Amino acid sequence: MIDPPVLAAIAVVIGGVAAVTARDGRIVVLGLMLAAVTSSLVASPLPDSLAVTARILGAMLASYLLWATVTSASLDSAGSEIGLVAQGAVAVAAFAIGLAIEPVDPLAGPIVAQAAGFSLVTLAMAPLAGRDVFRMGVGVALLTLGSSLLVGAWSGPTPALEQLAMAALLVGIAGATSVLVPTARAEAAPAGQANEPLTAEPQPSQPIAGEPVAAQPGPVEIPAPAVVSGAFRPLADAPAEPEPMPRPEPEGQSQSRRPMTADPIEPDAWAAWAAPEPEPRRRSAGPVRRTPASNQAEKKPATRKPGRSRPNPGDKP
Amino acid sequence: MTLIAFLLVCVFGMLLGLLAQPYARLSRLVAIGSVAGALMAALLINPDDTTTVGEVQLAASWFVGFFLTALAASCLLLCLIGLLTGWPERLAPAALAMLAGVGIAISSTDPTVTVVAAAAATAPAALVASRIRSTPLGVTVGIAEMRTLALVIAASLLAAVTILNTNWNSDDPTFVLALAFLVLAAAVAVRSGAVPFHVPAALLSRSGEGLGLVLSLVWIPTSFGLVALSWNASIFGVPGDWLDRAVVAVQVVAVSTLIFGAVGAMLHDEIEEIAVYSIVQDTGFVLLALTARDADAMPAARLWLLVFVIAKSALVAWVATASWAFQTSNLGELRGWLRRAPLLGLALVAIVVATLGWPGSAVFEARATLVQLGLPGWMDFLGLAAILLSLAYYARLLAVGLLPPTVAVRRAGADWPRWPRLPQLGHESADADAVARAVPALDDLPLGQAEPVAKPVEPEAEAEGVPPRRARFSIRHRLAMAWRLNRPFEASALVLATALIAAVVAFGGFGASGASQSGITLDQTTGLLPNPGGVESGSGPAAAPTAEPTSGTTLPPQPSTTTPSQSPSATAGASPAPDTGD
Repeated sequence: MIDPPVLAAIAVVIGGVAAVTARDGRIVVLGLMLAAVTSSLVASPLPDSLAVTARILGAMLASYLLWATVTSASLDSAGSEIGLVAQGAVAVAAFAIGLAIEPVDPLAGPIVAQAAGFSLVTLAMAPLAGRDVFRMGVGVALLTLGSSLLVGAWSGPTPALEQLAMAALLVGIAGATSVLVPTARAEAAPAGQANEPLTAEPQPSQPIAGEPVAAQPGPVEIPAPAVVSGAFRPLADAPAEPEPMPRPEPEGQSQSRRPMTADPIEPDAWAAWAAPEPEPRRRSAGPVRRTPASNQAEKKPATRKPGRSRPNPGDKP
Repeated sequence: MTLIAFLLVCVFGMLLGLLAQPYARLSRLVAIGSVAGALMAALLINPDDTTTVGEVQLAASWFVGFFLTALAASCLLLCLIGLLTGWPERLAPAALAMLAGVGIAISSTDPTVTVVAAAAATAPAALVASRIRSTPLGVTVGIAEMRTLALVIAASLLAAVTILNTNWNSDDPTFVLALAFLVLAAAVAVRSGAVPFHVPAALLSRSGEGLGLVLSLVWIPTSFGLVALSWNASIFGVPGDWLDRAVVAVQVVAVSTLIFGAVGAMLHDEIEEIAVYSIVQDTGFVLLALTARDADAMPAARLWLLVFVIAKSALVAWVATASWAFQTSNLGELRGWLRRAPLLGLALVAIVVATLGWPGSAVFEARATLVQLGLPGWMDFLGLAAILLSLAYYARLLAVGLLPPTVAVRRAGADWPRWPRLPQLGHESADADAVARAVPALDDLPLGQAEPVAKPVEPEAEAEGVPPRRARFSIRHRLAMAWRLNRPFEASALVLATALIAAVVAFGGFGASGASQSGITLDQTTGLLPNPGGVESGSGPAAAPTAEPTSGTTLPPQPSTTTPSQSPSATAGASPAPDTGD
């Protein structure tokens, strides 16, 4: 007969693995809910029914918040970089280590709680190291659950108020994740905004005396900061006259007195991006044989639009 | 029950505030009402109030009530200022959620409940940071918030389990203590934005958060720091190589924060960034209180936390008001601000006085005590250095204000009270409604020009020498116009009031000195905890209990509550333990 805490610990790990490895956002949330619900049962003796109910309600509310975020924003997780099998192996290894070691002697709680705690904490590391806010939220939740399991294993049964506080903490984490996940507009930003280059008026070139300029170079395209930093791949078919990057509008806030400026553009990268091939100048008698030296001489440094007196937000202070 | 009433007001106020978010006017009304209710409930907290929830007691104390009152009052004043300068929609619900968490954290007798509640109280910072989530900067700030939250949670739980457990399988039990101390101090430093963890705070200052900055950078770090300090002297006040190394590491961070925070404030030209770096610099004293590990440092630390909450709230309010009044936050464009806004100048001076004090004042002595106890003796000069560095950037702000004003400053309205002039209507009869239609909306006028524009006098009537008529406004209209016309004055007056309250608290007024002598409930509970690993205390006196442990806590059985680490001297000035009600 397997003890209920052991079953619950296994369910916790399965839920954690599902939350970390799944790509479908709904499966991630379901895995997280499984881990959160069953983690309150990895205890010996079991907490009283009121405390367990509070934890389960908290877990369900937290999951609902994430579920609403996932479904409304059509959000999916990036999933595990190493795949389901490898991630599961990592979780099982951490579980086995948790069963083997005894940092506290004697343990005040069940050893499976320690094992499941180690497993969840290990699983949480990869999402926390990434830059996906949704996955980071899942990682924080798993870290919290794992830490609470370790506390239960090392310090013994937890009182009802702590269960209530833990439920509130899980809800807070889910709420923080749901409000910090970029909205659909932000998700669309790489295609519509972030990748859209800023426009800058070119420096008026000095016409060569007696040599009419056939065509003025168009607006110099300054790639968006996300493009410069390598976060997004620039669109190949950028519009001819792209909209200038819109100033970020705070959401639901009326105190946007001073809009932010765009992210910084590294000078070197910017120069590399902002130097399109200019239209060749033509002599009146015909085309000019162009040499690299003349090309270099004619390239004008692109200038940014005025009004950027503030330091850019990405600059390190 | 007073404590429960406070918690209920905060929770329901937060829920109502979130539900009312789609309705602008209603959300403001609910927010102001909820925060005012929370302030009233905090004022009414009985220091002897105890409530048992499950197996854990929530016990109030003088300092608990004072601290919650300071937080709620700061929040209310900032919300009122926000009504004038730009409403921070999510600040009030987030602050109420934080207040509920902090209320549980600093009144619980169970360490694990305390740390879990304190960690939960840091989550509402995301509500403020979420305002810019759709921008690249917002994504970066969001990631920083999530990582900070993870660190705070992990550190809190690790510290709690370290403190509660005495059966570590380790040859050197101080290693576990050192690890817990280091992680806890790291959580405080990261949450506070201490150097070198200041980048998220700096990014947040560029996001146009305005008044919302105070939640993430002042209220939440202060509350978490207060919890972290509660067992500092009694648990970590033991000798040990590992612990000493951890303390040195935290000292390095504290010193760098004190110096480079001020340097950052001097180098930046945006007043939001100056305020943020000023806040960052002053969090160095919280880290010094952590490194002190001395019961004598606790009253000074508590007083400093009280002053820090109100004074930095006033500073953020000052920045928001100045930016709104002059429509710029660039210091170069704010030249001459002091000539147009003398009330703001007075408020800034009051903030400086509240933050630094002078020799003999309570806040000055508190800062000096923290420097003396938190750092080696040969580094006492840092206290004076911190003051001079702070004075440098404050003086820079004031000096810029005395320069000849720029166009932006001249265009802005002055912050002294004015009475609206009545418009001339010419010679045609017109009633007040017609005038109201003729006069452009005051809200649409630039600040300082929010006065009715006189219509030109008709040339024929002027030739006949007929005096022009003036509009007939009812007193209600005139009061409304005066209210709108004097918005700079009202905002500046509120900022000045906040700064003056901070100054009074900094000098020990309102009972701040007495309240800082008592602690939170965990201060008295941790004194009864067994020393992890059974390590004997060294030279540092540790907090000693003043009463038997409160009933109903989940503290482990206490084999002997009179460990060598408990010094009777630590009880001096401690408030009586809360009545358990049994």
